[in-house]
Amino acid sequence: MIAAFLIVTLQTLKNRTISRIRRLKNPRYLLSAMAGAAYFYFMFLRRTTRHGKLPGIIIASSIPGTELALDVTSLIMLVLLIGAWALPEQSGGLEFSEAEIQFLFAAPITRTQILLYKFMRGFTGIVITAIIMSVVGFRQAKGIGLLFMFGAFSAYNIMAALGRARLKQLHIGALARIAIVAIIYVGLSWFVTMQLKDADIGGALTRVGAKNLGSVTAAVDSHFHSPFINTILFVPRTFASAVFPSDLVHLFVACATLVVLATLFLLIASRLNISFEESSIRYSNKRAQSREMQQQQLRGMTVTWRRAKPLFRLGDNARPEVAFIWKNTISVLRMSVRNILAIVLPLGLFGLVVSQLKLISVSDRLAMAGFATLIFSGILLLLGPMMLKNDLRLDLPRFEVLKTYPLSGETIVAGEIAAPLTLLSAAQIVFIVIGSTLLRFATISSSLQIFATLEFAIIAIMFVIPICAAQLLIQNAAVVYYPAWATPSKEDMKGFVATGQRMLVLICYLVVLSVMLLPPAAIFVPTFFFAGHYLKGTPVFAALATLVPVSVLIVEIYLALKLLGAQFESIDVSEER
Amino acid sequence: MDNAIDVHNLTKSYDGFVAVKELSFSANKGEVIGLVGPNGAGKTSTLRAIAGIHPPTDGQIRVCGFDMRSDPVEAKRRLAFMPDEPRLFDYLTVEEHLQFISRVYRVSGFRAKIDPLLEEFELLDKRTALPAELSRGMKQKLMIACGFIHDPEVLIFDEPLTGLDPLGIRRMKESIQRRATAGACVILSSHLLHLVEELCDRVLIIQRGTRIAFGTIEDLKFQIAQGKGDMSLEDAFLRITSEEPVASK
Repeated sequence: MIAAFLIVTLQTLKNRTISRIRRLKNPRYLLSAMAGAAYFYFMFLRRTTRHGKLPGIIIASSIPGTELALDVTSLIMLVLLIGAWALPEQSGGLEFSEAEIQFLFAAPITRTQILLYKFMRGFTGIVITAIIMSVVGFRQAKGIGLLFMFGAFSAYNIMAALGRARLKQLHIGALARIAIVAIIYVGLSWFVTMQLKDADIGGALTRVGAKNLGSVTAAVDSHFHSPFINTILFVPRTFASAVFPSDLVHLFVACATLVVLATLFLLIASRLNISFEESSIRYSNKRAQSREMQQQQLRGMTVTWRRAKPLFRLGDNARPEVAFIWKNTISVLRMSVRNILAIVLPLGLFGLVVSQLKLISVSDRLAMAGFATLIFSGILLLLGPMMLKNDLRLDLPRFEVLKTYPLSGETIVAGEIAAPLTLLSAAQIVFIVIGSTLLRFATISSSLQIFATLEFAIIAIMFVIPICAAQLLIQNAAVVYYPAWATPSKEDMKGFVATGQRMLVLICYLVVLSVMLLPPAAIFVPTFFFAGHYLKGTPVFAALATLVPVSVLIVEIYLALKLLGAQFESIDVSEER
Repeated sequence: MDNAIDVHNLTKSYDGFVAVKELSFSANKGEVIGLVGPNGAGKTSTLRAIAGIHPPTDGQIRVCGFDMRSDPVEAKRRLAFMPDEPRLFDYLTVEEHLQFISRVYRVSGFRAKIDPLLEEFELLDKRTALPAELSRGMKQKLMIACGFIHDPEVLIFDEPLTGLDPLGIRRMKESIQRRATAGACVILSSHLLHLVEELCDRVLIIQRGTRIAFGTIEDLKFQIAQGKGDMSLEDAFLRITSEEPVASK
């Protein structure tokens, strides 16, 4: 049976690796993989190869002295090992896939064998984690140590899950377990504090320098080796020794001990004789649903406020574009409340704090609030179109339905982006007007006076709407031109290929936006000076100076909309899968 | 007079794989056409091309005289496509779906049409429910109700009975027949051959993207049985799809 489980596990790993390599034939995955690999190289590997380790990220590995790192890791392991008994799940449910439940639970095999299978299946993830951790640091473990450490920890967690279920049968519920674990934590904290209080660690750390760092860590470390602490940390230290072995012999001994421990944990788990099948099915379904929910939330596709009413009544003779605005404003209210709160709440909080500041004058408070509102408007201009995805990005799974509508592609695209454009533009206009007005009543330095002028408000308002439209168009163009890039599958959502894909999309977005904004920006400079020469001092100057570049941008948007509409009509979604 | 549907030499290929090959057929108003074939025969590809979801690789599709390539808006206005998998807007209620679709198809006086449709599809008490609160069958009913609200001249169903309960199936059959009697052309794809036998005037059998038979059920049975006694549509279908293609009508 073990051989069969081993074959399934290895075959799964092999098939997954081959499929990941094969899909690199697709340029989308190849480019993403290259970008992701470059990102990881520059972020992690280059630093690691230069310094031998990763400063600032892997704290334990950057602490000088293996002994201290070992002790710190032992402490962390101790906390985790004890904490496993405080977890709320107490039905003995273990996570299995749908296929595993269907085939294994109905198969003529014992519970112990199912537990063994569960343990072995977890090894694929453990191997990948061990490889990644070995690459970014933890070189002493040679990969093998991490593998054994995570393997034994996985066996321990299986035992703890079934142990919690057994405790429940003995009428020791979650609250009692949490209380016991909390008491143990408090006791341990008190004991460790008492042990270390004479060590004058604070004083030692203030005297720390590059030269005496080793002696300080050695002094601190010596307090971890009292007989009592040694006893408490025996098992956790076995785990930690596999990660920070002093030499190969220690690594071998630690790994061998972990094998014994893992066997012991699994043996105890099987002896607990908990009927975990039914609860595992429930637990697995719950986990699958919560993962699905998380993914939908990440993509902004969950209804969070179902009772939200439409912003306006759809008229009996409303045009299709209005129907799209109506539909998408409903989606904003019902699905993007969180995003809106994320946008509005920080400003509201800031306003509240500023209004309560008694130490500064009213004028200064107005200035602070005014500038904050304008800065916020700028941030909204940049991030708003990315956050408010209530357009084709949200309706991508329903492209086939949209394509059956008796509307031109241009109408559908325009209708789809109209709602986020209206909402974002309205919010930005309000913020610009409020910010500029507040600054007019504040005393600010002459160099910043421009933000308090009517001219600034006019220029800003005239620019924000088309810039916002341009951004929304680019975001939607990405979906229409490359739907496959915009709909990552479940396995696409993590890993360095996904990181690379996100980076490429962002880079392309910034490049296209820059290209779109270049002509209006080039025209704005001469028209600003020309209008300024003849009309300075009147608000008409600002409007005229802005009119020409904004018109250029609007023409660009119009052409882009035409192009996008035509692409929407011709796109074959079925080929993008 | 134009046919309701005219498909001429339709070819659809995906990345080199030919799903539909030079398929031609036409359907009249008031007629119910059954599209049958084994899995992977190209039924859904054909229906999606007629509905304007994906452009044909080659060939021509006309809906009520309007070319799907050159005049897609007018062609689609006369058409309703009901896919096998209901794709609804997660954030719109049942009633809001009907309101939205009504305006997309520019249906005048749509509010008066919503209640009868909800009643017909037993969704009256679900009018404020979101799709997540509906069963698979109810979602299917809503999708079909959305398709009916603009009184289309051509109705395309891809596996219309999936997920429906026995009462729902009966109501659906009655709805399809009622609309065909009122003059709508119905094309339905289904693996349920008894449904096809019961509802359809003519049957188009395709295999590997090619038409292998097209005609009335009686003609097909006679043609395939070759005068050797009576046979059901199921027998005829199994015989024709497991042998070399016989000459189509």
